[in-house]
Amino acid sequence: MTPAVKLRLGAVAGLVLAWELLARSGLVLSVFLAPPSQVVTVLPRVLAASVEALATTLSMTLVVVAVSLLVGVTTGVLLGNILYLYDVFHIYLIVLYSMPKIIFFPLLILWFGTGFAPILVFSLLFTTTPVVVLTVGAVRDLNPTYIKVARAFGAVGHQIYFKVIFPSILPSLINTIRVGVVMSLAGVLIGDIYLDFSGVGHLLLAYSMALRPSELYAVILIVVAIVSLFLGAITMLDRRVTRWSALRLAS
Amino acid sequence: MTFPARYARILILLLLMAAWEVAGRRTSRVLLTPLSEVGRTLFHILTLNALPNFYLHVGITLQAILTSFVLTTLAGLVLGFLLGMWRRAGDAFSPIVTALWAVPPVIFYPVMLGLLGLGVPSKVGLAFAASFPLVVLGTISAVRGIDALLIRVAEAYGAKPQHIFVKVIVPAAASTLAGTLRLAFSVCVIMVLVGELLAGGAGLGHVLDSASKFFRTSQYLAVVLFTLAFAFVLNLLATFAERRVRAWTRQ
Repeated sequence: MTPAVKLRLGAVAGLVLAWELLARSGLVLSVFLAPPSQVVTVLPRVLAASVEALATTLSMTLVVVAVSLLVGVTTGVLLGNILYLYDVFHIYLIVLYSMPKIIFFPLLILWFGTGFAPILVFSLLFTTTPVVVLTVGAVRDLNPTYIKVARAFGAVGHQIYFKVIFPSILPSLINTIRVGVVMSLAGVLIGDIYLDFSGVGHLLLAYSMALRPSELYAVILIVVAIVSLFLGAITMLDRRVTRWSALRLAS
Repeated sequence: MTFPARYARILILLLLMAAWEVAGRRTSRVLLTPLSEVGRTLFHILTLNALPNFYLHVGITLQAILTSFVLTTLAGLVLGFLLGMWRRAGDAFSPIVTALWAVPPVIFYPVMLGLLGLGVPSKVGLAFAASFPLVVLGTISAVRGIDALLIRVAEAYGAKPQHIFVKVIVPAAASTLAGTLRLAFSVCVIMVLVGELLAGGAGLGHVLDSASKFFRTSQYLAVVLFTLAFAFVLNLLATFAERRVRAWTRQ
């Protein structure tokens, strides 16, 4: 084990210990804060009970990630590359980006009912805007010489998009994917808690209203673990892509 | 592409407004009400003829936003400077903060409702949970991004550690920090509204929630317009403050 890993494990252990002591000290009412030792004992049971809720939340999140990346990156590349479109829509993008989108959620309920549909639409709205903004930024940061050279060598529209722009924005696209995953999960959970639907948000509400802190914290731990897995996978993808684009540049 | 982008922008806005008006006249009053009627309702609300406590709710939202921003700034800067300057502690704890950044803060909201109650403190807690990791990570990277040469030179001229902190580290990091805090501020605005919409009996989010749940769509839409303007003005002020700080550091 390297010293850095030891240091990090030590930090985690210290925090867990502090949490345990705080929960046992009686400073916080025990119905609101459970010690980690208790959380761990209920963890397997909670995990077994929350399979369905996790499946609901994760499948919705994955749909949102896929759709928002597809729509957002396409829109972002077009807006970033075609100056006229950028001039027309840039201001709308800024306004949309800084809007607190949550305030439209009640309207979405009026329009789409109380099922999974408003949650999906809200989360899409929530995720696609930052994806577009990040992609536009990446495309506009691109060195214009690349495109000029490609044109000079006779490249046409689709070749410029797929052979120049897309590979060049790929490294920053990884970060966009990261943001997309984080935002879409947050959007789905917000919608789920608002509607008390059937996903993880519903589970959190149910355990907190039943005053069962151990189970509540167990659900939180499960979500944290899943998020960490997602982000770990993206980091691995990041390494691959960096190596790939370095190889392409070298050859 | 001879049609100037300037006019295209305005044309799109007018078309959107016209579409809203027409759609509002044609569909059920529960789903949408025409823009002209929403405008009238907004006037009634602003003159306190529709919602007698409207400005009280605005004040409560503002209070939650400002409190959470002040708290997250103080706590985030202190921890960020500590972890940024004390390298070993930074290596140990910053991965934990990064992991915390990726976890959707709403999952802690049921816990906060239990611990802090339904009032302003739970909204402050939610906004804090969402913005704190952002400020810490931003501060760490701002402090570590300072040119080490600046500090070496100050040391060579015999500056004491506290002088280095005040005269070298703070001004050198201020520009990056201003951007981080500006981002944290808009996160606070969004998360306070999220918290109010999800639970509680006061604030703009609550007004939106109750108007839509009683199918007062016109009132709901009017408050949506107000909230958008409210958030826009707050973000404008934050941008202005950020520019001032950046201008100050350049001197």
